[in-house]
Amino acid sequence: MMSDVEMPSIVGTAGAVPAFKRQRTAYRARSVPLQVLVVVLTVLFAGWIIHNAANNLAARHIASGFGFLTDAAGFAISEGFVPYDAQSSYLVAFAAGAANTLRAAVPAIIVASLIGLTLGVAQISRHALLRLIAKSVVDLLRNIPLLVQLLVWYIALLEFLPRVDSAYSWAGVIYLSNGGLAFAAPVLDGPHRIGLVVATIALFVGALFVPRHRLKASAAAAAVSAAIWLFIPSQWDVPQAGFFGISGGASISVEWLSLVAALSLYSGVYCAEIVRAGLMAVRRGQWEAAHALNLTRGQTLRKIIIPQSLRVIVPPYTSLVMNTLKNSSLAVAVGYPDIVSIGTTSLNQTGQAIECIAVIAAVYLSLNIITASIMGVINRRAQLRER
Amino acid sequence: MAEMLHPPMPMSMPRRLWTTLFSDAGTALVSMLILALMVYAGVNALRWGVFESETLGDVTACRAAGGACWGALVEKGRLILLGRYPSTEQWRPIAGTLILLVCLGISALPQNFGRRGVVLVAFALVCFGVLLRGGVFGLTPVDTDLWSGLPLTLLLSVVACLFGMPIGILIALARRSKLPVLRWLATGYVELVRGLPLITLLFFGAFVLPILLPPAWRLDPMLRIAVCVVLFAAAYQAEVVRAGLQAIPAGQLEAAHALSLSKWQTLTRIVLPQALRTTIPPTASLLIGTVKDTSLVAIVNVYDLTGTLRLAQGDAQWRPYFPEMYLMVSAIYLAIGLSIASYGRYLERRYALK
Repeated sequence: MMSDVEMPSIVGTAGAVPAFKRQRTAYRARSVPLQVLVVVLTVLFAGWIIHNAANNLAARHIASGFGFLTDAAGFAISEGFVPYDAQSSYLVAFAAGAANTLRAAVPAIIVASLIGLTLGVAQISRHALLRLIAKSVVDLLRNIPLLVQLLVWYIALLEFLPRVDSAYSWAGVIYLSNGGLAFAAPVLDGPHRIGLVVATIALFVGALFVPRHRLKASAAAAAVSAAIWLFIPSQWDVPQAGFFGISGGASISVEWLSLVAALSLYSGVYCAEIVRAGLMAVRRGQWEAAHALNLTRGQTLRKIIIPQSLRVIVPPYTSLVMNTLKNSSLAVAVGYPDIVSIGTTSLNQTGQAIECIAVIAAVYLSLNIITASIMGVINRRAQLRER
Repeated sequence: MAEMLHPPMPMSMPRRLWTTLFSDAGTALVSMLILALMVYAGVNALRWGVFESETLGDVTACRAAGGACWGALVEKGRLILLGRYPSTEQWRPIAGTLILLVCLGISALPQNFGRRGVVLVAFALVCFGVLLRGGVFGLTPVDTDLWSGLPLTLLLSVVACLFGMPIGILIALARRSKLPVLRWLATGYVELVRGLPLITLLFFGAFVLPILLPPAWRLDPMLRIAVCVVLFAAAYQAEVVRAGLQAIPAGQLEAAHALSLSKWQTLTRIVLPQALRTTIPPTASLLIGTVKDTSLVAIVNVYDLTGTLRLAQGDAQWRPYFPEMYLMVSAIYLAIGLSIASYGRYLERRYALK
């Protein structure tokens, strides 16, 4: 049994449709019904789910929709940037949660990158002991689940740090106890604060436009803005060790400390592997050429090897950043109020399961898109530009 | 006649060590510093873990001893390893775990790949399920919410890897399909799942899935969690397999076509064997990641190894001895991770192109 459809022939009869065209038509003829079937099945499946959801929600007397977002949330959020109190709406609570996710993930990504750079370079060190230690740290931390590490940090900080009434203190400006870290902070009222923030951002953006010495300019911008932040405010809010614990000053919770510590180390060792792979991807000849030019090993690394390894490092580093953002969701295990933790609290209060999970998903997906676009710019800069 | 130069003599081990560690002043200084730190840490670890430790499962004895309290493991070890499973029936999870491990070990040998291995693992999973669930052969029924500890961690890991793999391969094939609808669906699924943290999916399984299914279904919570872990692992597996598929030169497909192999034959005899070989290293690290990820089920109140660890800490009197418990659990995860890694390296060597 040989139909025209099944028998592709290279020799087309003159005047007839060429064989490859017939084949393509046959392929389309088979593929269209299959795709229609898939679409119909998907739509039916979606319809079935929506039908179920409607029934279930009606049975539980839950009105679907995002109307609840404007209701007062009523629960407390222990820390964060976003001004929030119990009368604030769920929308504000979600915003506070998203800000808290960034408040933990961004410092963790910065520290992880530094750890990764150090351990990555240490792994290709000439020094056998240094290599051994770096490799063991990486192998150890990579194989233990992040959640276990996070719980270790949390319980270790709670158990090993002194109680609030006997907190470690440094010059009466910084207090560290198992209630968290309290430190003196500049007092900034409204316009003052906005002015400082704008000035800092302007300095950094300006630094990005300094040709050739962008890194040095950024460092200078950081130093200048730190100086401004330290010396401009006329007044400091200093923590006071009182009878009922420490009041005043800015404070950082133990939850935040343990989350950032665990995330930094866990992402740091992954980053170390990325850096090591990137450094090893640079050809040996580059090392030898630099050696021939009498550059020291440090100079070779800084000026020859690392710049070239960046183009290998940036793509996996991008997914590392996204993973760190996603991994910060483990905050819920230690009670740090990130977006997941606030989302599930709202879920328990309102019963709006679908909506709350959708909000969490939307936050992470948009964070991913933002990361991808920022890292895309960096990646284009790191790519090899050939003449 | 010029004198012939001999190649340098290979150095003896201690001599080589000496020259690498103390070649010049700077290196020697770093070496001394690191060695001093290592000795200090080693001595302290020995003092804590061995000389001043207490192995009696008794809190007062532990308080008296300055070092580690291994007695905490004597006291809490059962709870951490087997969790809330009824203690009178504890031989069942132990037997189930052993059967699962043995069958996995046998089916991991390359000569058992294929039908034999799959049948063996399926048999092991059925045995595991029957033993733990009970209700037949005179075994008392035990609810799945009492399944916990190491057996549960192993079960979730095996299920996630075993089901995630074929689903992942299917999704990867769909994503590379010429049919746009299949491609869009697969791409959408993979990107959505990979964009979300696993916890979100677990909460989805715990809270949203019951709303989306008919009320009469009443899926077991453990099953819902397992489904979520599988779907999560599948999305990541799909990306790994897709990379492997992309690495196959177009010439292979053309050659298969020239030999008039059917699509199915091309897929199973030409494409997948080559694609899967190149994906051995990333698959190994994915499997390690999946085992570690199963720890997150502890957050939705499923007591896997990490969950039982938290349970054990609930006891305030043993709470100060958390480092010992964490060391034990970490060692278990480390052992699982390192054995998967070395198995991956073995497969890589075994299937390397000669």
